[in-house]
Amino acid sequence: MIRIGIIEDDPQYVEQFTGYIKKYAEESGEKFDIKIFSDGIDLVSDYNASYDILFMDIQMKLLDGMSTAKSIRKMDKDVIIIFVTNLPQFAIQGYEVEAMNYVLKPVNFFAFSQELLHAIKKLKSKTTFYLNIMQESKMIRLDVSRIFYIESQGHTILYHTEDGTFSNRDTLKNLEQKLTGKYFSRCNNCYLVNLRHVEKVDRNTVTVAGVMLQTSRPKRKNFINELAIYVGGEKG
Amino acid sequence: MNEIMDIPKVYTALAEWAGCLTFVLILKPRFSKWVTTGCMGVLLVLLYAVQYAIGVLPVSLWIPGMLIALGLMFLSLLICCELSLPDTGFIWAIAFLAGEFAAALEWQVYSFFYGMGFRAGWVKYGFLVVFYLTTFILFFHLESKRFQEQEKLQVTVKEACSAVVIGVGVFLISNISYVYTHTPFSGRMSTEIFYIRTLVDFAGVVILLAFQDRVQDLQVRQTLNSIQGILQRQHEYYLQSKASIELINQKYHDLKYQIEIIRQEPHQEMRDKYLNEIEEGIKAYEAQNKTGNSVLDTILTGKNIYCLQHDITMKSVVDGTKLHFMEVMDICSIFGNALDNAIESVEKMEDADKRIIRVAVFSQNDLLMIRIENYFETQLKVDGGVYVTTKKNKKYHGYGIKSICYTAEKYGGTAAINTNGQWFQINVLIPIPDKTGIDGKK
Repeated sequence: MIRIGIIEDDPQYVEQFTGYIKKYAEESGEKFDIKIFSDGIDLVSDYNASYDILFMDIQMKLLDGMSTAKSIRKMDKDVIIIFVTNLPQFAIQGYEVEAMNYVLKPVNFFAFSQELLHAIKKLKSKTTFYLNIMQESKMIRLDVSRIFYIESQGHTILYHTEDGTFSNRDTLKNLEQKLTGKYFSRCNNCYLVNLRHVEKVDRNTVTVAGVMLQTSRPKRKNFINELAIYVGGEKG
Repeated sequence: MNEIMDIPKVYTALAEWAGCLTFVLILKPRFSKWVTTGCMGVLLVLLYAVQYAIGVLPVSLWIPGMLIALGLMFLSLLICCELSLPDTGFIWAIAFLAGEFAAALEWQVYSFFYGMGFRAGWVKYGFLVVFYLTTFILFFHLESKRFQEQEKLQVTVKEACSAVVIGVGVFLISNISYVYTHTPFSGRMSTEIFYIRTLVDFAGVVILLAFQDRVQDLQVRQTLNSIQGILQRQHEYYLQSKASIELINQKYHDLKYQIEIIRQEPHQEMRDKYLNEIEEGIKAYEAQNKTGNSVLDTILTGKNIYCLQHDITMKSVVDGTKLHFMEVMDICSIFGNALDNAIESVEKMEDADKRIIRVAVFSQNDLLMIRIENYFETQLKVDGGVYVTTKKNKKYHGYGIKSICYTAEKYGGTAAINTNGQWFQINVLIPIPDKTGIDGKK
């Protein structure tokens, strides 16, 4: 069930959007729960982070879309905001609230459904994935997104994570296979880096969660390419 | 015959000095006339001193002595002319060989007449003056013609190195007979030795002049190319603004008729409806983009006008302030190429609803992301991990993406192509340099 909020003061558009979502649901088999707000103030007044996607009109009477989005971002980092506007230049600053996409009025089904599709894809990619590792004869589950980078030292693997460092016996090659498609990439022979945590790239180093790691010349090109695709896809 | 054995050292010093002087006269001076004159005076004295020392000291010190003389020539060119280090190296090699050639030629001819019995003092100095003047005036003409259009050579380090190697090589081969008589390349008779030296020096000068021509030709061609590119772009802009003016004229024309209709409309409700329609129409053509970067604003506005005319929806969410560290041409190259690419791809689709282009520029930590994507329906061809152009004329396309990659790599970044479902994405990732600007940009 995907929870959608529509914040729009024009009832005609509200009707159109709900119609489009229903049509999309029929075509894709997705299930939606839709809530409607006629002004930004109604959404912000008792917001409880219970939405996955917000379609937000930019021009509204009491609280405009951009201000609403700013307030929402303070409470909810994850919700996907898609602006709806008839003036493109209002949406050009969407990056301030991580709203990288918008729909232009008058809205056609194709454009609307593409934005919805993008948002749903992004939602689905967020599902957490765990690695099970043995730690002092106990099995623990590591949330992959919380790993900064994985280091290989001889036959030991070190997992540097937000919750400290863990280790077990494994090979980087094996882990690399397990983590395919999970946004991990090798920056040299000893490190498998979580692209989510990359802060900085230089010609010879990459900074991951404050730690500077060396990149090797043969691995760098592929690493930075994968990083580009990750960063480009992340705010999609 | 002893006296005729070799060129007097003062001659060599004079020839070396004249070689340098020729270029100092041609090229843009670094200092005022008087300072330059002073420098050249000092150079002449120093060169003479070095050559004198070479003549007095044992042969084993010939190489270090020559090195000092060569160093002096190099320094004088570097100091007196406004030249880069590689340019100085290149010019130094020419000046040096020209001097060597003049000295060798003069002495060869003089020694021939000396052998025939012309041994008077005035003959000796007459030869010196006539030959050196002729050679260097000719040389001056050859070089000043080459520097007429370009003040600088702007050779690469590699080209300068080749010139220096040619210069030194030619000098060594031409002079080997004087230092060692017993090598495969040494002559044993003095006249023969003189001729070898003149010939080799002449060949060296010709090679370097030809090399210089080639380097300068290449530069002229490159400049022409880039000018052509700029002209082409300006022409495109002109066509674009012409088209947009026509569009505006047409809109005004429409507006006049619409106002007429509204005037005649008796019902308030209908009048409001018409007015709203007009408002919508005006808004749609407000193709202004304010991103925080004026270069990007211009590019986006230009492309947006084109998109509006061709039923393409271009949606931008752009933080232009993040592009501050990039050069204008690089911003043009990335956005121009990527947008042209996207426009060309979506234009092929019949259904105007599907002609969507999305532009996103944002930063994440110290990484700048430029993402330009478009919806597509055709099957993309991949050849060895590289996307093959779907455009008809393969020879002229595929360069757009190459150029984007090249620009991104210049800043230590990359351009990655990705397909996300039916969306073709160009993801340009560039590390944002530190405020000090050490990384990324030279």
